[in-house]
Amino acid sequence: MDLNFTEEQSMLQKTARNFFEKEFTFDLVNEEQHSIISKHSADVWKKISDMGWLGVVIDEQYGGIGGSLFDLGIIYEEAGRALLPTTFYSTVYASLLIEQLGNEEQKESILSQIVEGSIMGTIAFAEPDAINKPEYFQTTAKKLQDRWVLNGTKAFVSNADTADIILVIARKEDDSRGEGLMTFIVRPEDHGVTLKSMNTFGNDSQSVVNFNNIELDDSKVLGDGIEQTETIAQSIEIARKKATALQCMEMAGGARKVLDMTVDYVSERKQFGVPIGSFQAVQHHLANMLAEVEGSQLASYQAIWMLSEGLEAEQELAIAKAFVSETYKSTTLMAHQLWAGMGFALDSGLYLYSNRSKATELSFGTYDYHLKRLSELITPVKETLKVKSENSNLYRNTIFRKIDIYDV
Amino acid sequence: MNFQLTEEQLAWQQEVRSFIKENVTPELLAEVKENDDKQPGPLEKAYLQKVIKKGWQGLNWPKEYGGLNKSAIDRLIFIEEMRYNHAPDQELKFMEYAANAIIKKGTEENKKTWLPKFMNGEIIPSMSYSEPDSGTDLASLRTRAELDGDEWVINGHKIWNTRGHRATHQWLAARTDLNAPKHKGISIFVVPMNTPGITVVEIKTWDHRVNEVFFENVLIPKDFLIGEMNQGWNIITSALNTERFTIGIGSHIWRLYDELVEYCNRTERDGELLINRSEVKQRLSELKMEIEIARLFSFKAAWMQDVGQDISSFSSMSKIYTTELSARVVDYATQIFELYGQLNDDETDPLYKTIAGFYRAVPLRRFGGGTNEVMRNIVAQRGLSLPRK
Repeated sequence: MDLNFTEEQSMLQKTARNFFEKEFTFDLVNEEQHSIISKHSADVWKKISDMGWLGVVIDEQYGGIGGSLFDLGIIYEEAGRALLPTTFYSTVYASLLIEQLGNEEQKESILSQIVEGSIMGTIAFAEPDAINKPEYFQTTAKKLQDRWVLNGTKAFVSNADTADIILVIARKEDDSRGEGLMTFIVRPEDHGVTLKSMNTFGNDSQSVVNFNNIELDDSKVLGDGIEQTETIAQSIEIARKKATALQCMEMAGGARKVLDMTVDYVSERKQFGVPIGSFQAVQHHLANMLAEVEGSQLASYQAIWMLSEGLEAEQELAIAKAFVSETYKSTTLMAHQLWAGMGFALDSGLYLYSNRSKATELSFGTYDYHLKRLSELITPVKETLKVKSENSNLYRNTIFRKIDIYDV
Repeated sequence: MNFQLTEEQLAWQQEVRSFIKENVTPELLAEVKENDDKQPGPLEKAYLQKVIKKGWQGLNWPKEYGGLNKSAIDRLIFIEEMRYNHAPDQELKFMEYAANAIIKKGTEENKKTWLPKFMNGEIIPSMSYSEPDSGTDLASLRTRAELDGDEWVINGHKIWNTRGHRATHQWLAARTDLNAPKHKGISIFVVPMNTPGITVVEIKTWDHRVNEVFFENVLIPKDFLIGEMNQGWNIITSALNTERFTIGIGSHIWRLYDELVEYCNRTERDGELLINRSEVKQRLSELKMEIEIARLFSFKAAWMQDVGQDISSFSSMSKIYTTELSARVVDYATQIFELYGQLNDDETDPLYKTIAGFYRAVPLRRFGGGTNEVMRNIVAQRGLSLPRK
């Protein structure tokens, strides 16, 4: 157990905080009212790319840094504090899937362009009637001679309007459920792609994307086109897990920022001649918030560290996302209570976090979704032990150890 | 960053487990339960001596005093294992506490006279801090110690004393200066229980036995004062962080959770395996999530101690979180058991005659070791630097 950052990681954190604070000030928030979350600026994008932050986990041979997922998580935590435009998240998410599933040529061309900041990407996953389970997707691809024909509708596609490539998760037509998953590299300008922007209260850009007989050749299939469906599903799952853990880091950072802002506020705001932060009723709310924020950070660090080390993190990730979802949201709502009218005024900027907390709570699996995953792990203890003991020697596995091992 | 235990830590965990497996027998646990309000029986005495011989009652004592100088994480691993297996540790904690105080704040003479006795188990202390009118506001305590020649004369009334009926000595906080501000007139003494003038009176509680301890013209030698005169408050507060951190280690309740999961996996009721009920799965998952958070708090607090960070806020937070969660875990256990959840020491208790005891014991942790309200003040004022009123 060691919660220290390396010197490089501390430096990275500091650099990211300073940079984001400079580039995403609250003045800017007010100027570009409502839209900082999605407000993409080519200028800042270039700077982020120059920092190398679009290629933290991308291999050096494709122009990346070849760093760890945990390092990238540090940037996400800071991005969460600063409410970075979501183009960063959607592009990184796309790059994770390409890294996982792409063939050499695709990695060479697309990843290097992402790293140098010349293209942005996104993933079209959810559909109107299927949010989390690809086996229920209705977007389908049909092979006609040497071409694939793609049809279907994706929803809540983040930054589809600014993305240069959209990675579309589809099923092969005629395949039975759960089989034949494929990922296509689609350009928004491809013939037959239509975008309709959705009005979300976070005001980040999300769209319904329609695919009407899009014709694509084999080079637009992510991967070699010969992978087993299982491999493809796994790759998607891995990319999603990493993106989920990264988003937990973003959320933990956002929650911490809201707490910091609220502590500042109640320390300055005076009523009855004293700072309201000196009242125990206020202090106790904030003490509870701190516990939730600290817990969120630890759970998120643990999940992303494990994934970063190549460990499974099945339950740790579920715990992190469920816990941080509830924390980020409730932190903003309690902040509204403590700031009262002042926090409702748009000038305070508090609402931007409130909006983002709701958007992030609902994406990459809600509280219920992750608790259900967790509950699937509450199998008979004996079985759990068998799996766990072969798996690794993480201390937390002791919580699942078979009870009568020590009973004599 | 690393969330794993090192090879050495895993080996240590294994060593503790082996010891427990060998020594914490059902006979021992039965005897301990039987003798809770009486003197320890032969099995418990033998068990305590075994732990003491290993020096495990004070893992972090420095080497120069014959201690093992283990890390806070090692201490956490030890306590987690002990509690997970319901190994008795109350007396051990008191020995550790007193010796730590002497190491940190005692005079050279104190160390020579008392330390070996506290460390080798010759003295089993019990804490005499609270008074009827001095609970959370402990510094207002009124028990008096007056120097008369070469002796201290002690008069006063202590309450909520744990294990005084089994201890060899009281670790007593008494007022030695009536004119100083309340925090600055308190001193700590070691008082042998066999000194004339001490009366221990049982208070029957909803949970375990506690005592009132009356001191009536109790005479003890001058050098039974620990540390400097009027420096008692420093001694008391220097141990609070460790105490709260230790209360935050809830593995006896995490064990109960594990048993609960196993129970749900093997128990059919009203035609359905309990674990197959969606509401049961939901609640169990929620608790598991929170237990993981509680354990992360404990590990972080231990790590912070090892790297020399102040844990006053963090240990308080850990204490709040664990104690409030523990109460919910036990409460939910009774609900899962439905009608069986009300059994008290009954043969058919699904938790082997412990469920009622747990239900009565957990609320105590929310106020023991400092009320959670005070803990929240500490978190807000030290952890978040909010203004004090």
